[in-house]
Amino acid sequence: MRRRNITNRLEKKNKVPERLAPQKIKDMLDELSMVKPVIGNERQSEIKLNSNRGGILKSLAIAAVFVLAIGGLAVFKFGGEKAVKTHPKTPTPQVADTEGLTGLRGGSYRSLYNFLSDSEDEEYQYSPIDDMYAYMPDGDMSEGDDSVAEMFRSVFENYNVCAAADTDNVFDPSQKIVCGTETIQDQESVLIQQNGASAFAASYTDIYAYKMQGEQTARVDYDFWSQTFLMNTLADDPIFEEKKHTFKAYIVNTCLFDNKLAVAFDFHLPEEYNDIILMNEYCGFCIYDVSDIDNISLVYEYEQPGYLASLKLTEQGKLIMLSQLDEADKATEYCRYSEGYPDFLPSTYENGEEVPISEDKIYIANKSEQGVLCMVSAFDCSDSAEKTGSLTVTASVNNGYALTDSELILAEYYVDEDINGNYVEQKDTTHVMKITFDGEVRISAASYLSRSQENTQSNIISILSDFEAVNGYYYLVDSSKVLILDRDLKYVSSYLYDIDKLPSDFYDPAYISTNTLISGTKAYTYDLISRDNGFIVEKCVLITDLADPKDPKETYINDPKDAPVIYTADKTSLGGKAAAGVDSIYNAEDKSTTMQLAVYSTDPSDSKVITYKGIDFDETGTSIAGKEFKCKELGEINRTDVAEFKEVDNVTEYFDTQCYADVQNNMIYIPVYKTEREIEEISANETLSADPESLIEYTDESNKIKYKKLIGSSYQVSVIAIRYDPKTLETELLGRSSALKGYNALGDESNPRYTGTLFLNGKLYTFTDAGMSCSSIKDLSKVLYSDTF
Amino acid sequence: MDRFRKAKLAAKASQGDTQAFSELYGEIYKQLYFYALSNLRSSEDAADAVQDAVLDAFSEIAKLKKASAFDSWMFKILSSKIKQKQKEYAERAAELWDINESAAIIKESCSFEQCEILEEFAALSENERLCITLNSIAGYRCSEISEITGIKASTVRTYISRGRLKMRAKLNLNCKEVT
Repeated sequence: MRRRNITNRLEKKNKVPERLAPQKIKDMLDELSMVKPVIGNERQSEIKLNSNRGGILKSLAIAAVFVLAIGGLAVFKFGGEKAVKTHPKTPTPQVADTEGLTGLRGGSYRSLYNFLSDSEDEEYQYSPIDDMYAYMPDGDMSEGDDSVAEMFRSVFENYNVCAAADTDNVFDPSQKIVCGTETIQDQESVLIQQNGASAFAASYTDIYAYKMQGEQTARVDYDFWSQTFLMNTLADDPIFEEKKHTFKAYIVNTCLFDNKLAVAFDFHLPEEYNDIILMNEYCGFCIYDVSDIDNISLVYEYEQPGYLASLKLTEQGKLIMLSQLDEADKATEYCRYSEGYPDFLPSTYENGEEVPISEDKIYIANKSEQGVLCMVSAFDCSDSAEKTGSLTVTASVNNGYALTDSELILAEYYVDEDINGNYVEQKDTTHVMKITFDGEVRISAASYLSRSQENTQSNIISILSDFEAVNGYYYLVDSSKVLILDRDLKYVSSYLYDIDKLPSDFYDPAYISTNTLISGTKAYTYDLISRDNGFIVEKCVLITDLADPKDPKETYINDPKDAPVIYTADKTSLGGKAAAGVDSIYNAEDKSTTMQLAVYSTDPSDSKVITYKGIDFDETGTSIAGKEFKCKELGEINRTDVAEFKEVDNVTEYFDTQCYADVQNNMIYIPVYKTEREIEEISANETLSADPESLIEYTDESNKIKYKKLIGSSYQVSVIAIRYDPKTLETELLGRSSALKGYNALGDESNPRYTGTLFLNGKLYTFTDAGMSCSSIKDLSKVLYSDTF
Repeated sequence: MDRFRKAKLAAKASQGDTQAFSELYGEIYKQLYFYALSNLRSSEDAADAVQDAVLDAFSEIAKLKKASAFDSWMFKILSSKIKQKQKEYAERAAELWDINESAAIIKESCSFEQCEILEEFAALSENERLCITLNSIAGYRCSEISEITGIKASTVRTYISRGRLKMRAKLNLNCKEVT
């Protein structure tokens, strides 16, 4: 775009000669190829016989001389006056149509520049470091602060470096397979689901393909990045070379659909603005045809500005991409806008072609808390992928958003101030807008919601947490309030429960965390139940039917046994209306920790809890199903022991409270971690910056006071496999995988890095960078449990 | 133009398809012209250089290994044409007076300010002039300039940065960009 900008500017003062127009050049080449005499103006005489041009031109020149010699006279003018074909120019609208869209106006590059540059926060000082990088220091940091420069440099130095350097130290890379989920949503796992005969594994930066042949898996030799415009062109920026860093695209998520593999990623591109470098946020995705695992090919590639907020695969086979560009206002600090395509607005790229953001697809909000841009793009992936539409709007996802297959609701909350800059509560507003993807991407409705509407406090949405579109209404939930709008986003009604009426006899008043979620037309208000049968759940205390927005019907639940379960913290989707959650209960008496697994329906009207009191893990590592799972208490070091230099067993195992699911195979996996604590000696100076809780003071033989510090490291060593019935939600412990030893490139033993687990055809495959283990499910309880702990 | 289309056009052009070649050329012809114009005396000379470069390129396109390199390849050819022309200027000038590099690029009709800028521009080293022109006139990135000229990309940046600083210092320019 910089190039186009410069060219446009130069062309105004220096018209490109007509004879250089492409059609003229074509005519010239055509004439030469037909061996027409080329006597003309003196410039033609510059086609010298003794030129170094080979091939056709030499023969043409010879022919020309021959004609001259004969005495014929023919005239051919290069760049004559004959008409040149030009493509008809369709007038394009310069401003988006915003009729009926409250709070929005059609933007132009100029107005967008004004909006963004006016949005700059005055508290921040944009000062370049080393005349090279723009950065945003905290309010009280001054320009030229060396420590800030060092900090920023270290951030930049580390940003694009692959965090897991041991990807180069793989012991046996040929056996890595992982399992995952079907849809790409926000920041879900980067694991990929196998599709039968093939599987795909993703790390943060790479994708691997495997041909599944029972226990004999073979890695397919295909570099997923090799054909991409991203790696071949965008990554080739001299700034990386200058700073001796490697460009990296970080894979956000992947999914398989219709024999295609989609890979979504985030990255940064440096752009120089008048000798200052800004790192532009970018996201993108690639689609590969994986119908033939031996002939994978890249079929589509797209990049757009902003970090990826969501990439949704709809049931209709569309991809909806939502990104947020946080840095555009900073760019305006360095690139003043005069005309043409603006430098502060990075372009998109579709299959390697730079496509500027169209001026008539820019929408600017009348007010905004910050200079942030959201970009929404839609793609038809039914056949070969193509972009069907896109728009850019000055809004953010920070206040929440709701994305369905056909609509996106953005809600932006504003705190209004008076002319003195004082907060005025009654003026709080929320700006909601609806973006639809029917054919083209467009903003189809927009509205202001103000606190002052009617007399309740529930007329604004500060953080959109839940959403339903039912029966011609939109139900928006803000932790506890429900706002009901019509299809044009106009206010209809609102609902807020009366806290004094909530039953208080079965919830712990210490946990004041009453929340509301919406399912269909019903609002479920729930609260934390303390240690119900040893399991932390959140149970519903009030159900309100809002089918008639003007006449809510409330039902209070008085008996906890009748209350549906809503477990919302760290739940893992099992597809459909089921989810799983893992939690731990600490027993202060014996200092043990118990793991509990719940598999439950997320439909509040039909929720039940299945609690699995899992495997029994003892020190020998054998498994006995049906008993409570216990593990050692995490690291309580006897300081007296340390002071006496006694050996202390600092090794413990614990499980994570986040499980992951293999929906296709109805499997749940719970990672098991091992933590090791070490004690190292530190100097008195180092104690000043150390965590006081980790310090151990002792006296040495010469009665000098010295210090030691506890440090710990954790890494995954195993995984517990549980199968569930999607209909009854009953669970069955299958067992636990064995741990493997790992080795680095030097041959030294290192902690194996888990890359995933896959259940396929009755076998459990577990993969680390040390290799693969394959266990028959029937014999899983007898799988070798490593005694390497 | 996406790279797939570019590859197809390059393949056709290498077989003598003038339409395909003119499409490839059409993507960059303005930049080619302005690049030549910034280094030569007149628009006529610049247009001549571009046409000569086109003729060379069309005859040699079968040797182009990567379609994606078409742009930089065209600029390379044009660069050599420009150098040939500048040599002619210098030779002509030497017949009458001492060789003066700046005479090679002082345009026939310039305002005083333009002459001053061009004088200072001419005082830069050849590589500095080359890199600044490709960057500021033709709008190429450092990596692209590196491909065109064969100069290492980090060195390209240095040439551009140093050249601008020199000109700013000599002309006491306040604006941030020198074009």
